[in-house]
Amino acid sequence: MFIFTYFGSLIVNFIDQLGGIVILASKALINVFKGSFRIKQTIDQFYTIGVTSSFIVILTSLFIGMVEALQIYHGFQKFGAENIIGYTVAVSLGRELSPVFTALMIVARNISAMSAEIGTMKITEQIDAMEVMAVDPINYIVTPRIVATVVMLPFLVALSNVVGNIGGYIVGVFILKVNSVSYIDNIKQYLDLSDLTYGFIKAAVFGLIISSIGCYMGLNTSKGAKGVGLSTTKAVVVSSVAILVADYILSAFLF
Amino acid sequence: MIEIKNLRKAFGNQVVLNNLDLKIEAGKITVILGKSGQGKSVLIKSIIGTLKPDSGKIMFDNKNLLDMKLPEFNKIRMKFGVLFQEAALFDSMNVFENVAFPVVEHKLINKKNIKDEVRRVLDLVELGDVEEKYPSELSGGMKKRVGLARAIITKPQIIFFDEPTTGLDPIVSYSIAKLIKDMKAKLNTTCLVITHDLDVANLIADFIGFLDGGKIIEFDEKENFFRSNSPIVREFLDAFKGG
Repeated sequence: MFIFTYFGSLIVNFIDQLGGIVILASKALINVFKGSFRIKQTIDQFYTIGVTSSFIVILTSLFIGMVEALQIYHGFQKFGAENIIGYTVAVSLGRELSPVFTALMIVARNISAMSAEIGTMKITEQIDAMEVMAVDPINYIVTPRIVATVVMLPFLVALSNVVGNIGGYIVGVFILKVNSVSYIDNIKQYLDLSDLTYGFIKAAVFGLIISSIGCYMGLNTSKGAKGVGLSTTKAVVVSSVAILVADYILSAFLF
Repeated sequence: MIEIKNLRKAFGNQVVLNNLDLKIEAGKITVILGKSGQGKSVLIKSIIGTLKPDSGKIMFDNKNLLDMKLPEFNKIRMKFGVLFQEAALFDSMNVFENVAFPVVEHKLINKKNIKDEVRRVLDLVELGDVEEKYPSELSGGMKKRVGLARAIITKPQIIFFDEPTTGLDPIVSYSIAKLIKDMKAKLNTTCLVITHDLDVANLIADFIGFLDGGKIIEFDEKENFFRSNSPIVREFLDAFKGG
């Protein structure tokens, strides 16, 4: 009986939170289509999410590209196919690794901060103050963050693709001594534009999901400083899992 | 000005407001006293709409606030000013931006006059050169003054004070209480003050109500209130004298 109660409450809680996140995202997006859009706050978020996250995306992407080239080389060498590692690195970065790792980096760097900032505003009655002054907190706080994450994540993925491929090229050509011309030619020959656009679409979807989760967790913070910590942890864990689940669904059914 | 009828709010099985009735007179300072955990903050949050009561009526200008849709209620909210318990200043904004926030958001004042208006309300709350400071650089008393400046910049008809002196030392508490009284005299607004501080109530109140068990069990003019025969009120008053 206890097991049923336990799992039952987990399921109810999951559906409740999922519903809350979807409703919050819908309200935020309705603000965009209604045109009640806050340009200054959105540009601030473009800077926070896009510009200030560039360095960590460059750093991680460089090493992902390098590791990818190294691993693929050792596998492909057995079949004499080491010349196509350039294409393999590019396609795996474009379709999979760049969107997923960049989104995870944004979760670690921005979504956690988003949740903590909104959570602190919630427990210190700043959100209540906004409401009392007849200012919609979703329009003021949530919509700019969701829009900025959805818009900036594909740009960061593009940056990640470029840097990751440079990393792959450095390892492939300078360390593993793969022919430089065939490395580039294989990418030119086999890589489709769709390999990149799929990644950008994934990034935008991930952006919508993780920013909605971050804002929802922040807005539902209670119980003081401990509550801020809890909601931040939940935002990071739930966003990270959601990226992987959404990645599978998008890869399996759409692309 | 505001009439509350049969207001009820429960959190699970815990009934916090139990068919509460209260009338707030226009142009007067009404103080609601009560022990901690009796629902004083829940009462104020129910009126300003940050908590939704389970049932009852909150009449303002003969309209029930609880029946209103958000856009209509927001128009009424523009007639409210609220000083929150911890001032609720926006951390990311400096004092100028905090105070100017409601008038900028609702474009209530011409852009070039905002600076003068912010200075005017900061003078009213007796704050000097603090426009460029951030909330983290202010003392508790200064935060409350900035919060009050933000509350009055829209020229509200009624100002709500949620525990305005909590966490302040007696001297600063006195200065804030005196400020509330001066503010009411200068702006001729209605004030509802929620507090457990009897000294504050004594200094500023025109009317005092006592909240206990989710109801206002005593409500009268200040002088009469202090002569109350209610055992619960007497216990509270005597405990304060003893303290």
